[in-house]
Amino acid sequence: MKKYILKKLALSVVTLLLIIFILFLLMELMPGSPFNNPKLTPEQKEALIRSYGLDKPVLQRYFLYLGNMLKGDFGISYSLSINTPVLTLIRSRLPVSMGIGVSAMLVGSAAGLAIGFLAAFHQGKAADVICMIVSVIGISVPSYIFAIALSYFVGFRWNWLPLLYDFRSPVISSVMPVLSLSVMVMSVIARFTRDEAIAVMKSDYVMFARSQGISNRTLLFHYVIRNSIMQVITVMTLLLVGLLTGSLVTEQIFSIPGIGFLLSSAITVNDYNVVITLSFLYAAIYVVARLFLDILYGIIDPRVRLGGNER
Amino acid sequence: MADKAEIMLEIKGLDISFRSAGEMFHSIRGVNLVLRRGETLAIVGESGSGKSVTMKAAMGILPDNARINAGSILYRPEPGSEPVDLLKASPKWLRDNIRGKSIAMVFQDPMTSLNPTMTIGNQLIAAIRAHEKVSRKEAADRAVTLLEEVGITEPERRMRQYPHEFSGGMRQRIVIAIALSCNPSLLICDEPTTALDVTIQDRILELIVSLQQKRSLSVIYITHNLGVVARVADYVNVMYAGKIIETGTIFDVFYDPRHPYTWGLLSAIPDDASGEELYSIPGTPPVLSKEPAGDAFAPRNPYALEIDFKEEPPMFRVSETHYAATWLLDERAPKVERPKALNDRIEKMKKEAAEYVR
Repeated sequence: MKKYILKKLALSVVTLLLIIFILFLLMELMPGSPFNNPKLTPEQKEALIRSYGLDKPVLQRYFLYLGNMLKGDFGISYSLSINTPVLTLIRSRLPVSMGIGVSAMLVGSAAGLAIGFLAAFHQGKAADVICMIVSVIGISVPSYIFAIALSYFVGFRWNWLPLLYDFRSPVISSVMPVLSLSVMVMSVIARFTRDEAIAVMKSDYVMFARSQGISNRTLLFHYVIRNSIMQVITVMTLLLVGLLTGSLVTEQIFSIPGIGFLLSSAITVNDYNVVITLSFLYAAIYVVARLFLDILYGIIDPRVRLGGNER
Repeated sequence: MADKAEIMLEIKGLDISFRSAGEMFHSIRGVNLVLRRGETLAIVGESGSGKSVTMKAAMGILPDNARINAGSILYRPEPGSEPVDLLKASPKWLRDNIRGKSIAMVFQDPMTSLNPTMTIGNQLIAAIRAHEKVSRKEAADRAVTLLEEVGITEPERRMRQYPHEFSGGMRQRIVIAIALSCNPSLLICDEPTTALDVTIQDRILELIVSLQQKRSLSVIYITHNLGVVARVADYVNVMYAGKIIETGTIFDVFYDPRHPYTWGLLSAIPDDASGEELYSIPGTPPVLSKEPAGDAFAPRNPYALEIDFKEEPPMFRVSETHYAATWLLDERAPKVERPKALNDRIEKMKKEAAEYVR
């Protein structure tokens, strides 16, 4: 197990280094520069570019940036909030995005698991059909539609909840964003849970366990849930990554000061360091999530843990 | 063969359909079957002939799309007890009193019969505690004894291992241990050796036979392998398209088969010594989404009479133990001889059996 984790860890580090390198190359290809103020003369722009070291070759900047990163320095913002360290910009916004993302994940997963198992146990019956119709709608309608609908009815018409995010009452103003994001999570998880659970319930080992008179309770917890949860956890983790990194559109609709909002603004003004740092953050969250999944597979599924030990 | 033993299981007129993709498939079309306590019975037939479905119905583990149209399955859990109709029993009663406790089933593929995420120790313990109120510790001790009984070495260490750490033969031993964990009286073996290497098949059969003697079990084998039948069974039921078409003692069916389908099955046993080309029954079994006209086997039957295409044959009596459903046994039917190659084969089998006894 230790060797297995170390191998996965090493792979993750290599992946991240590669990602930063590709990010640098892509930024190089992006048109325009961070210094777009029409009042600047070409000479002034030239001077700015030189003072920030942007005239150096890509490779050199890459290693310079890597070195600074190891020291915890992710550079400064060039245009959004001039000369503010990127980390400072992110530090205040990340918790907002994460709070909403994690809440949406928790609400969506709980509802999705419940609906999925409910549908699986009543396969082909009315409950199953209703659950699956709900889930198809939830998957096919983008979450910003729910966001707009919620803010129109609940926020504007009925005036039950604040229309826009208010950092003085983060819990109440998070309700609508969380709900609109969790619909998709719920629907995807419900679908996966149902399909996996049905496959497991049809398996030979469940049939054999039933033929032994094993109680429904044991069947449910030790056979069906345990064997169907693997796939579902994979989906959950990948969904969580998407949610943690903030939803670009939903954050706009509720004007949430999160990192999704920050990223979309940074891209439009070529704020290189902010874009690179945020992209790196997304990639890092994703890589860490995969690492977590691989380790979890090892814990839940003995076949992975003991890989290559087949007798 | 104890003919006087009491009837343990009696299936009468069992009739089952399956709904699949909007169509009904009439898979079991009136099965009658009798098992006496202590006997070994084999149900033989091609895949899809309804062998497994019949036994799954008895245990109440049919899939959801199955519908039982008619019939009864009378079962005596204890010697001398009143027979119970398993088809009328409640699911809870079946679970508490029949499944795993009185009737246990060994499935075809040991690679998929065990829960991949549970140690085999825990699976044994779960099976024991499904029917007996014993502590985990006590159940674990019994599990170790069971593993020893089925020939697993170092059982204490093996208890903590997962199914994927065992070979196919070992897994089938574990499946058998789980099946026997609550001392059932009837063991149903559904193709117990089909998925195993030829070299392992023999050992698993030997294991089942020895356990049967030691525990005085009644056993039903579901198989398409007549070699297995010849080695273990007292009685044989040949099944075709959801019906039993010939039934008798193993001597009746192997040495004096009467149904052309049984002739085909016996001719199709591979015989390494003969060097002849392997015989196979022409055609494929009927799809039972519509009722076959007359005898379901008629289209594949080179000996089919005109009436075979019009009316289903009843069970004709050959002897007290031997019955077959073919119009060839009707007194008005023309005299038809078994193929000569098959008669030679039967003579050879008799000779081999005589040598084996000596």
